[in-house]
Amino acid sequence: MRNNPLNRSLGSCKMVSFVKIEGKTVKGVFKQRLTRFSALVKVGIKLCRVFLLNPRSVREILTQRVGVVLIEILTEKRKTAYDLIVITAFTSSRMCEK
Amino acid sequence: MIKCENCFERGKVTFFHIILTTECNLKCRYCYGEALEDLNADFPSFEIDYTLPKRMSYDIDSLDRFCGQDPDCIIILYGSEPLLCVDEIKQIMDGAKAKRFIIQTNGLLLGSLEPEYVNRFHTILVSIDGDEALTDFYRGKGAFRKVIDNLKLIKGNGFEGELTARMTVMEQTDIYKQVRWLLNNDEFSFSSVHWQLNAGFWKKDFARRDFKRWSEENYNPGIRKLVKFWVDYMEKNEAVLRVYPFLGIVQSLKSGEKTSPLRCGAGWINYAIQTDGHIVPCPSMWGIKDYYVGHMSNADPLKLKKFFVSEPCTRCDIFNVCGGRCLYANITKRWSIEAYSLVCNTAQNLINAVVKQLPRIRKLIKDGKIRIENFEFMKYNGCEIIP
Repeated sequence: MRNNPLNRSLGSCKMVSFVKIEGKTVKGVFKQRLTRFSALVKVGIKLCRVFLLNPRSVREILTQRVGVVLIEILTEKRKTAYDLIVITAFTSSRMCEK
Repeated sequence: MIKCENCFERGKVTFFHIILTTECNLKCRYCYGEALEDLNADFPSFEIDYTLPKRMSYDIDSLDRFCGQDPDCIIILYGSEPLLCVDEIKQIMDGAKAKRFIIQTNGLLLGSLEPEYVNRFHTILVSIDGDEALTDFYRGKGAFRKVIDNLKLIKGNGFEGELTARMTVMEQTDIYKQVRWLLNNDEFSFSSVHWQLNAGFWKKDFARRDFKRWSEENYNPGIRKLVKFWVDYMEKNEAVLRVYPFLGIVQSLKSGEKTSPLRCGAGWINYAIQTDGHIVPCPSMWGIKDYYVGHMSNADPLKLKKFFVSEPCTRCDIFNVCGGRCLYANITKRWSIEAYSLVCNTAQNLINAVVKQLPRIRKLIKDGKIRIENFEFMKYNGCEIIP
């Protein structure tokens, strides 16, 4: 985990441990904040409702078309298949949008 | 031996939760799990700041200046999970003037902080919900074992302060069984316990949960049995177990306290400093701009605006003893009045159970088996009295 580029956005302090990311990750493009805990993200050609893992600190997704990384969690009772775990903080038109 | 702190009378000391990070390394059922189910819920009545920095964004010098204005300032290191920021913890403990340091942690990373710092904590509040099966059910497989290993490690490294088990309680919890387990077991017995009901904090959970049946058939009877056990223990062992909700209520009833403001201290003696430096009445009220009381760069810690609970608490028969349970729940009203009345019933039941045992406690004090000082504790240290 220590060299995982996903951790670069976790802050400037020296980390002694990381929030463990397990499972399949996918990239997406932020479209809209929906509620306190949810946002709309474009994954490939699909618009998906995603869960905001850290809803307090989402300054970057005030801007549309910011790149995000999602973790796919497929369980029966969940209302959404994705957690938004990382905001890559750059705007991209290439990543997922078609 | 835990030293009782008579000096911490109302109004003389201010406690500050320092929110070091907005990130956590666990996905607990009553936090992550509940938030997942609350996808459609919002706070339409409040203006919320969702752009807080992930980490503390102000410098230690400004925190030092802020705390330095209150000679009795007590810092409670908090998060999400504060031990994700070990460097900041060390900087704060080295650089900020505070009379005491306390930490509230999930315990997974306790082993990553050097003993010279760990051993300076007056109290470590560790989130653990009971035995291994229950803790791992709520907090994730392996959480219990890791926490217990770390607690053994810090005790071995010389930690002599108070280690408080901080339980979150909901329908899978048998309160009578689990509190007794935490106080006396073969793995690691805690010197003190407090708990908080997962009730009234989320918008959509009541309808899908079994809170009514559980609270009436399991939790409330369990509390009555637990209070009786607590007094039986006093009789048998001439010692008072540090079960915070019971200590707080007995202390108030014995001292003839006419009324109690919120017993956690939120909004009047205990505040939280967000990662951006803004001060809020309680860590749960992060981002609610309507309740910002200032910024630590220019606020006077001794002159912060005070908030108190309002109706329905203020017109309740037991308000003078209960104090209002939770400012966040009272303000945000996530549960309906009818649903929340079940939570109030748990407070009423708790107080009644303690009142019922008071004659036995008085007799034990009169007979010299225990002393009133045995019920003293550092108030407003983050422990819940009304769960």
